[in-house]
Amino acid sequence: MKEIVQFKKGVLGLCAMLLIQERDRYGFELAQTISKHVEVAEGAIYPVLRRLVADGHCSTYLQESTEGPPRKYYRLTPEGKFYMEQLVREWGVFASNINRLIESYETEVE
Amino acid sequence: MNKQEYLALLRFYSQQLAPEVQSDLISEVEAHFIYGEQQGKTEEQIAEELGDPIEMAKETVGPTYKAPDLSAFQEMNRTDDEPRHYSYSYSNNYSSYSAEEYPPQNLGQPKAKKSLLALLSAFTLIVVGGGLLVSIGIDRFIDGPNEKVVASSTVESILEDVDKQFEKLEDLEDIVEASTTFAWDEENYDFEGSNYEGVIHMGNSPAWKDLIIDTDLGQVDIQFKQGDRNEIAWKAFTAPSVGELMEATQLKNEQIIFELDESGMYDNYRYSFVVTLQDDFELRKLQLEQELGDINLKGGKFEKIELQMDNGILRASDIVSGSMNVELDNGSTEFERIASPIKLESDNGEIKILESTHPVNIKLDLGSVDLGMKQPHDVDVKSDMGAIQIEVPQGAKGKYEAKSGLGDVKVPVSDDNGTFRVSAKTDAGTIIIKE
Repeated sequence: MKEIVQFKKGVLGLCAMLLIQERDRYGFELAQTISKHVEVAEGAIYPVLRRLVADGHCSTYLQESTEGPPRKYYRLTPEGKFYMEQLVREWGVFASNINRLIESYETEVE
Repeated sequence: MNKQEYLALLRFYSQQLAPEVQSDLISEVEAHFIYGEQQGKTEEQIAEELGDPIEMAKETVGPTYKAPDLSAFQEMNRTDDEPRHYSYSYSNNYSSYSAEEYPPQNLGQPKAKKSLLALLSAFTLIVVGGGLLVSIGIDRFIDGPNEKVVASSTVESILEDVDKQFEKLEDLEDIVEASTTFAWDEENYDFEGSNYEGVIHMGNSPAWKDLIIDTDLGQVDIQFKQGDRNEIAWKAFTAPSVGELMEATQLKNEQIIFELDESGMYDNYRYSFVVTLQDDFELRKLQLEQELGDINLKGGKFEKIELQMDNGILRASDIVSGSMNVELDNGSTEFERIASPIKLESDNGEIKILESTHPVNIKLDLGSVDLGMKQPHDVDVKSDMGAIQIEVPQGAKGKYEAKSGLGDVKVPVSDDNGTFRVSAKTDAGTIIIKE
């Protein structure tokens, strides 16, 4: 189903921002956490993160790690935080509207 | 696919990105591999979870993305500097990896199984060796005339040896039984493999000189035939890692080298090569290396042949060569109509050479030699233990020397002015030279 793919793609940025808002996170961590909630290829998160940075919603910084290479952490910028809050609101409206549509359709079917 | 392949493909697919963006993406994905490995995942697992690299590239670039042609990637990954007089048909498609085609490999077990196979061959060695010792040693000792008592100390030590071997054999039987049960009944011991095939066209190029085939386990059939072109057509039932390596095989530094030595443990792998050569085309070298399995070799014209085999049967026929060197650890040979001087060294095995026409030189630790000449030629056989039988053509006048430390010797009347020389020596075993 092509739509499902589009749903998931559309929501990945929001998921990432929600997680980053909680605390700064690095790519691998985000990929793993998100793919636990949304069934997507872990690789799908990297283009999304890049876009968040390019759009100024996130900034990055490197932090040395005791294990493995330095981690590239993502932090939400003030613009990003604002944008995320907008998105969350929009998502709520959007989701409830769609749900209402589905419910009315289901009633009809019954 | 592994990390290296994944990153190479990602780099290739994302070439539309600005260099700094691209290297940023790649280093992040590379880090992803490292973190994943720290969690105990294999590169293949991580690659699978990351998803198709083309998707990642497409998403990063955005709507303006244009997928580059994969064949350009393959072209890029050619490493040879040779002029390309030939074409090569790829059936390789990286994006078609799936779990079925690329099963996760269990690294620990094949190693264990391999050592068990080695045990099995050791078992064979002792059975063959012990049997030989008994048949030649004991027979001589019991039935031999009194003057043979001089050699009794040797015989005693041989018998003691046999006893020891049999003791070991009993222990081994248990182990082998356990190992075979383990190896063949275990549920996950499927002979995993896929079919692969390809053709390497050489055109009229004289740049091709050597053919080298290096295998680990499995059966290898190689047939040479004459035709109006030079090419190698091959088919294989093998592990994906090997099959893909075969598909990528090409002419490099005048050599075609098939490296098939990552096949793990599965001895049901099969490789078959049909090499077509133009009438006057002679290869400089044919080199085969094999650890366990049979090699069947037929036809061809070479400057030299080098064969190395650890375990298995080596069959070769109808070959023309300037020289043929054979090294065997524990294997048998069946040669027929080899128009080449043959130099053969073996630790253990039965050597059979029929319809020979060129000088033969054999050094053998343990085993038998059966040689049938079509035309008179020099023969030199030295064996530590084992029977030697040499048949010379009717009416041929040769100079014969035969010496056995322990065993009967039957030799026709030797002609000191003979046109050829046959020398056979063994420390224990019968020697028969006959017409």
